[in-house]
Amino acid sequence: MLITALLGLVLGAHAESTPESPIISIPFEEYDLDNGLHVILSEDHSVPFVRVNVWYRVGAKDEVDGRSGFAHLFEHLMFQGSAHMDGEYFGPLQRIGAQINGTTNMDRTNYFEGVPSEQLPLALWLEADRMGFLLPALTQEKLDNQKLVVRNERRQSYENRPYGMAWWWLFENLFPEGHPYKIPTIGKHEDIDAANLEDVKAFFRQWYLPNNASLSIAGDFEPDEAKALVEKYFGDIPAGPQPSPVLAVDPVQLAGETVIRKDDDVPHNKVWIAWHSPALYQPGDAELDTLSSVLSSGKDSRLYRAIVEQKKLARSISAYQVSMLLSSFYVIEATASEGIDPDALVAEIDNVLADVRENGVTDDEVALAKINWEASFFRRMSTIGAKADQLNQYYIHRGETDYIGADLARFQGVTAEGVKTALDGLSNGRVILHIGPADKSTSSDLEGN
Amino acid sequence: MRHSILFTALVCTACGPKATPDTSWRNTPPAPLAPRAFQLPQAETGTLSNGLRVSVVENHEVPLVSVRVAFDQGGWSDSADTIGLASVTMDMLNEGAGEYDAAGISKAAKAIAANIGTGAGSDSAYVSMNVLSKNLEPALDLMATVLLEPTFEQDDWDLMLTDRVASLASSRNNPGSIAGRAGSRLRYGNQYKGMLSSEETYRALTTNAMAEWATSNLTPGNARIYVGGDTTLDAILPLLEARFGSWSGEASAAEKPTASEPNVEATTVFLIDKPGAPQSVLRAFRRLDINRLSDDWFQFYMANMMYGGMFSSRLNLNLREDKGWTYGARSSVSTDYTKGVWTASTSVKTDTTADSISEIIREITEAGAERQFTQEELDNARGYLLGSRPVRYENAGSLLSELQTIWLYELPEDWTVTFADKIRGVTLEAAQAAWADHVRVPELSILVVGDRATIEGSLAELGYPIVHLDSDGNPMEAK
Repeated sequence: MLITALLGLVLGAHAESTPESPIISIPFEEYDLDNGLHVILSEDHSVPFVRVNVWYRVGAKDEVDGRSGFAHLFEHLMFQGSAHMDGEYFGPLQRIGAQINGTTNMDRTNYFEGVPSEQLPLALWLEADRMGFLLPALTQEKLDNQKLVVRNERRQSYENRPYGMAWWWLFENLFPEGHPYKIPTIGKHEDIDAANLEDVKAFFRQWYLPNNASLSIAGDFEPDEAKALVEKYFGDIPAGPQPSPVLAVDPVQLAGETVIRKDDDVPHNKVWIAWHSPALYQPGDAELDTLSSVLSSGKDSRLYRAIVEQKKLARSISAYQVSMLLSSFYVIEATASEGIDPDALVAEIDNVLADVRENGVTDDEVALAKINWEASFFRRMSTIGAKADQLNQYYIHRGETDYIGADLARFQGVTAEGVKTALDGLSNGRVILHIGPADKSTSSDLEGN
Repeated sequence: MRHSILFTALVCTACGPKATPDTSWRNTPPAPLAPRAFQLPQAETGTLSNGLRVSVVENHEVPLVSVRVAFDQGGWSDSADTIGLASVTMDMLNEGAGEYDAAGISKAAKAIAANIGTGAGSDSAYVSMNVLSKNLEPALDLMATVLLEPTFEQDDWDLMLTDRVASLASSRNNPGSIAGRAGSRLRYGNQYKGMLSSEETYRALTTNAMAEWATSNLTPGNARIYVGGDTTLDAILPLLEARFGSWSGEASAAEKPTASEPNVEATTVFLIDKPGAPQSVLRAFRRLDINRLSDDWFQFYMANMMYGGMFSSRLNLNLREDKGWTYGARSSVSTDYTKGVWTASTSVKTDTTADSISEIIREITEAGAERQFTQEELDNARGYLLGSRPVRYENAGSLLSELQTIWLYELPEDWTVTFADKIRGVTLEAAQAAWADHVRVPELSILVVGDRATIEGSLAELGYPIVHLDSDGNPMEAK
């Protein structure tokens, strides 16, 4: 607990936030190694702990046909050992108190470990070893084992959970054949099962390159010492041909309304209404987040009051923008009250939306959304782990590490008119997914076994 | 000739344009840097004029303050006639208070970017608030209104009742929730955490009963206040005094629960059918006769870490990293107002259910016999717990939550300060002995939520008695 000026988040000069005066910043410095590895350093000496975070510019959207789920399966293999530390990574890291994990989504893959400050060399040694020297330690046995583990992850997190396949069905119906977002990150059982050692080697050689990655270090370290360590462990990893991840696709136009009904082993009727929407950071993205606040944040929100409290058509309702790099989608999700026809529920949701289309949202509603967004920003940025990850996200997805002020300004600049325009921009084409209790006589529609 | 070939090879390795650099230096794990001092954050404590104690942990990194009024009252004080009362009462606080209805509370909170939360677990209840420090005073006003002036309107309860009843259907459908509810019933019988809500118990609750519960239980005598973040004791004490200083009410006289359900005398499989499930949810548990105040608590805690407390523990390395039968397997020790429970938990592919149970039991048995815990495993567990300590205290929340635990369970005041030394003091022999004392295979309850038609045959081959339960954990009549 030192003084504020030394710590990671620094208040700007103006207490009142305006688009011109970003109210928070994360101090950092950044540079590239000769091999292209981007390095971001952000000091925060509040506790003797340091967070190492690596983003690779590859996600499920970059998989090839017949290998859905592969980016995530590969992420698992990155924990199974490398040339100079041939063994599972959790052991050596957990014994020093490390918090360690990795995640894969459509757009990118990240790896992170928090370690006591004095163990920064160990964390960098391991991250460098799997970035540069994964393949010599790769075996069929490791691959076979993690294929089983990932398929069990699919069963646990998707199949054996009520409504767990909803996301699968939404993606499947929102995106056309061949679209990079057609199949959710977890992938198909048969594709995971089909992955072979050659796939792993090719994927590593194509994507896991220093010139396709960004290393972010946040927390308690001395910059000169950290730079020397980064150079020592990462400096001689050879660059490779610059990969070309998918960075743009033609906007998808849905033809009218697609209604999908799934009978399943679930207790209630639920509906998801989904529209294509502007990509992450693009005009309209922040406006739709603001619309979500107006529609479903809190018991004074429009959808809650109309649908849950007054008409009692649903038990719960939420609206949210699913922001992704190539294109996003906007969802309104509701659990129907007992005995309520899902079509009637959708019709009433449409009435609320029609009112917003007709009359817009109020300046007050927008103002409330903004100040709560600002507070949630502070809540999210209160750990070194979150800061390390956010800096990498800004660099990888925006090409601008110092984007935090502009990111907040996107929200501070939202107007009531802009929210209305964003809602108008949700095309008429949409997907309505309805999952309800199965008729006892029909079998489950769940995929995969 | 031989010589010259060797020579050529050496030259190529060292100098050729496609030379592979010598990376053998990477085989040696780097030594740590000089260790850096870690100072546990300190709590400061003050008292309001009504005797209510306030603990403050400062953290000025972000301009946020959190305030939690905690009560040592909760589901444990429900009777068989009022199951769920503490929980719904606390949820109802946020539905209407003072001049506000539910939407009014929500809007007032939004206007100052505050989050106000209320709730109850089995052992405690809380009203919590988190806000930008510049809005601390109006947020405290709103929090005080929610806590001190709830209205318990019938309309709001009608809406919540419908939601609670519907939630029950969800709980009875979700394999993980089924295991949670049935596990509570098996561990506690028909009391304390074993008192499960049903549609009937919810319908028996009234707004009058809620108001009475709030009046008699939400008193300063039952409460402590925990504050964290961008404020100081001196700054917040007068603000709290102005809102809570004249609040009155004694501590409740009710005795906290001590009873617990005995362990099974012979290991038993409790099976709940989930037709078509692709995985079985597994829980193996045994009630303990120790808690955090017992002499061998830390010894047993460390033994559990080695068995299944972390990713690189025996259980997970076996079921996940060796067999590939699961996405993960862990074990844990928990305690409450009664005693502790040891539980191993996993979800496994349906066709490996019986084999997974065998492995869970084999690992227990072998850890007590031919494959005892090693010093290396103990060092790993110790390093994990001690090394991750600094980051636990990155925000004020962890220390405040430990202070609440110390208060609720009457632990020594220096619990947090001495924790690291207690962990360091555990010897391998003592951990080994604690394992043998507290995890006994013959007294394990094994709960399985899975596809009965597929797994029952192989479960029967395990040789343990099988008891069929419904989705609330009640025994079903034998066929």
